[in-house]
Amino acid sequence: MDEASRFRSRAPRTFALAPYVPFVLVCAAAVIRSETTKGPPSLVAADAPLLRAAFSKLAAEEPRMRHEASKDFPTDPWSADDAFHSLEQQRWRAYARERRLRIIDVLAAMDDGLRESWPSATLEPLGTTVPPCRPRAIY
Amino acid sequence: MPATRHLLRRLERAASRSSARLAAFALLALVATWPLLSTGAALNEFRDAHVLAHYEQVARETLLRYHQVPLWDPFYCGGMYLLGTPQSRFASPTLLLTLLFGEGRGEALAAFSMMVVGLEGAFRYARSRRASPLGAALAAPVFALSGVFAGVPSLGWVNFFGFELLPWAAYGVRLALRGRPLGYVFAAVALAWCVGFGGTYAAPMAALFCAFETLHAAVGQARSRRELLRVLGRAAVLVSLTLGLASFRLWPILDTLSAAPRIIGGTPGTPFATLLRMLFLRSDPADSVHTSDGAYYVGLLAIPAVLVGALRWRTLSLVVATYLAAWLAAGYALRPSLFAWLRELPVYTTLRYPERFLIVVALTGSVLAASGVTFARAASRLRRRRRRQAARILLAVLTLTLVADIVPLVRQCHTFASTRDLSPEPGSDLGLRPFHQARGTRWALAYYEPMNRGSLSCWEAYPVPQSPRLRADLAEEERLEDEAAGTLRVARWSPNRIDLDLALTRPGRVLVNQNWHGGWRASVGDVKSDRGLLVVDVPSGEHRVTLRFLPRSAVGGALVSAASVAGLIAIFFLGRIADARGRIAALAVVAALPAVVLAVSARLLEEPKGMEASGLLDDGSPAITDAPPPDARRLDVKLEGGLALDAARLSNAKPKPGEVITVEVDWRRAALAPSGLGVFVHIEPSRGEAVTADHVLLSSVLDLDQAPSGKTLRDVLPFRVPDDAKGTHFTIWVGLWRVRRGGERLKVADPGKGTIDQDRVLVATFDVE
Repeated sequence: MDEASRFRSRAPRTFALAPYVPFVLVCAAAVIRSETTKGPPSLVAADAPLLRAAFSKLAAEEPRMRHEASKDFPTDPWSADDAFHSLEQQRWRAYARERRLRIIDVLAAMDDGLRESWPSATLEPLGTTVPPCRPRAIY
Repeated sequence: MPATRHLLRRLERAASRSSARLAAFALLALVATWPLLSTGAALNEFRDAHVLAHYEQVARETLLRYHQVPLWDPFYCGGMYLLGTPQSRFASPTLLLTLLFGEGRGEALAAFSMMVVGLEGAFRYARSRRASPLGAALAAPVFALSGVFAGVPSLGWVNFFGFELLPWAAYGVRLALRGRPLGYVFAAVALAWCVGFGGTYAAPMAALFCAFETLHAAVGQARSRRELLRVLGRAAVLVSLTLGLASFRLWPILDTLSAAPRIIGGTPGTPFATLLRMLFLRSDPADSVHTSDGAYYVGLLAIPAVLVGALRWRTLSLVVATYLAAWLAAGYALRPSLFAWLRELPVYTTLRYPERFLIVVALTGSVLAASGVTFARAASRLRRRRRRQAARILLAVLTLTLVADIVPLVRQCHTFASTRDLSPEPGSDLGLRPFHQARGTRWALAYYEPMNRGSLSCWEAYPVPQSPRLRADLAEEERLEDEAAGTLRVARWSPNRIDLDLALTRPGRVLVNQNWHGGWRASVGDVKSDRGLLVVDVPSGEHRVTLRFLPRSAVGGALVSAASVAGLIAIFFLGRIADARGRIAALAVVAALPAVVLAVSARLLEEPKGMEASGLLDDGSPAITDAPPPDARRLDVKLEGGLALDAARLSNAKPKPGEVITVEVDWRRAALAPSGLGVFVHIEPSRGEAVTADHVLLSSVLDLDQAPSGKTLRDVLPFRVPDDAKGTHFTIWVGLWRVRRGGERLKVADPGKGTIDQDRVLVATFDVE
């Protein structure tokens, strides 16, 4: 077969859509299944005093958690900070679970409390910056 | 027996009809992804899932809420180039699913769709390798439903479904090298989709597999110089069009990674026995020891068909490909290491997990299995009765085992899906509050964008350029550095554009609490980087300042991709040129088109280069100087390869427990120094456990490979003295090793004034008070 004939377009073929109906139906079943499913039940939004109390309690635990995290990474500020954020979110999740709060409300409270300087049970200043991201090249 | 023959014939016919085949494949994918589809409205709480879902969610919101192209993500790390982030997957057709159904449901539907794509791709690739329709259809699940695709949704690594495009790319290459215009489209679209879908493995591995296919085609035509040139010419056109088509995403990624290279060290390897466990043993979520079992599961029942297929002479190239992929998958565990050689190539230096080459083994295994069924089918038509009967039995066994293999493959998908920790999707009933940077946590990142909050807490596989000046406690995200200079009001905020109304009595500097990138431009004043922070110097007077993010790589990449689309369309019309020379000339023009547009774009579109902050330490001092600090202790140690350790200093020789001290080591390199080096650091106490602080980037910002020669390269390392270290004497040893190569230490050629032990240099000692 020469080059010209290889490139030569074939004669147009008729394309029937009907045989593809089963395929379309299966795809539609996938869409319907995903659209009709419901996620885990969500909790109701917490009120402000509850969230202020959450901030006060959880912010007080920050110095201890930072200290704990830095032990594993004495020479790596980003890794120590990242380990702290891991401990912190575990604590926040546990707190939210215990009191049947939505985790998003606790996260929002921790942010609002930091920005608006809500009172907390610690005198130590909370971290307002993070070390730049430096993923470890070697694990 | 006639009934069996009849059934086989019907199956063969059904497999060859795309409508019936696609329906069967879709049904299979539906069953395999049913648990994912049933939980699409939930949030996967795995840490990586948070980050990857976040990228997709931000792309969706940027398009739907702000009606902008998703280029910049202000919600993570203080602002990052979203299109240039290698792990985001939105630059692919599956974004449509996310737009229509939301991130969670879109993710499940993407898994379903990509499985269908993978099944059809594996079928077509096997057919191009002369497998029968029945064999190709039966064997396709061995690849497209293999363990990696079962496992990645539970980790949120949806971009690994890009591997489902691997057979399409190989199929396209085979067609294109035979001169079929559609082949160029299949290969270029598959690879560009792969790049757009994200991840740092699928596209490089697919490119490698396509290179193997090209080599195979070239070897096949080696006897005829003319045919060989024809194959190589087509390959060149294909490379140009593919790279060009992928440029809309490739250029932004290269832009990001050239400014912040993803550096991977270590010598990873997997013993052969573990590779076999990964391929053939099913995963058991309760087994915390053999966690990698079934990670690339293809099923034991596929083995008979694969073995029969591998015995055929015509599958020799596939057997070779399987062997090479398995060799690569073993990493450094098998010496000599093919993976080590591969990592010498530019893009492949970023690969950390060699065992992912088992995905290629799954594909070649699938085609070998298809070939095995094809062989048995052909032999079942032989004239000799005994052979014919033996072949029929073999065909029945291979068909049944491949069908039966689907069961554990699907169960594996369900097993992985059941291990996910799911929560309700984050609602957005907090209302659209003004955007603020929060300290955040990347471990729960998916909750932040719905709150209209950015998370400064950041993790990525590359060192995201992140300003140390970002703050999480600001009342206003855009503010004047000198508040007395005038007033500032945010008129409009969106990810890619911020409008500010300024009334200044004197020139002033606007601080934006986001990272700087060269793609930011201002309608008034000069955009600058202040230690990586986005700032604008504005003249006095009243102004509406519009800050826009429109990087050169996004615009240029889109233009090059558009040119490549034109080139791909043009290829279909080349057959109309009767003259062979004219056709070759036209093909050359098509091939050159993306490169020409790339050159013109690079020339005309201007942008400040690199990240200004990358050469600075966190305290703002430069990482590269002309000489070591005056108070540093001279060591003058020379290492092999033209590297030198000139001096070192310690911030405090008598620290207290819990105090953070710094040790600075001043390196210097010759113009021709070995590449792939890293620094090893051993901090050894007189009692207690030693601490290692091995690293690759000097002072976390400077790559030795990219560092200038003849300059002092400062490596400042903080060390937090342990709380229980009172009265302990510490010694700090450092040296260089080939961390991205074989792992050997660089030898000390001249000890100078230093103390040397096993090719490491004593740089400091201290006693804790």
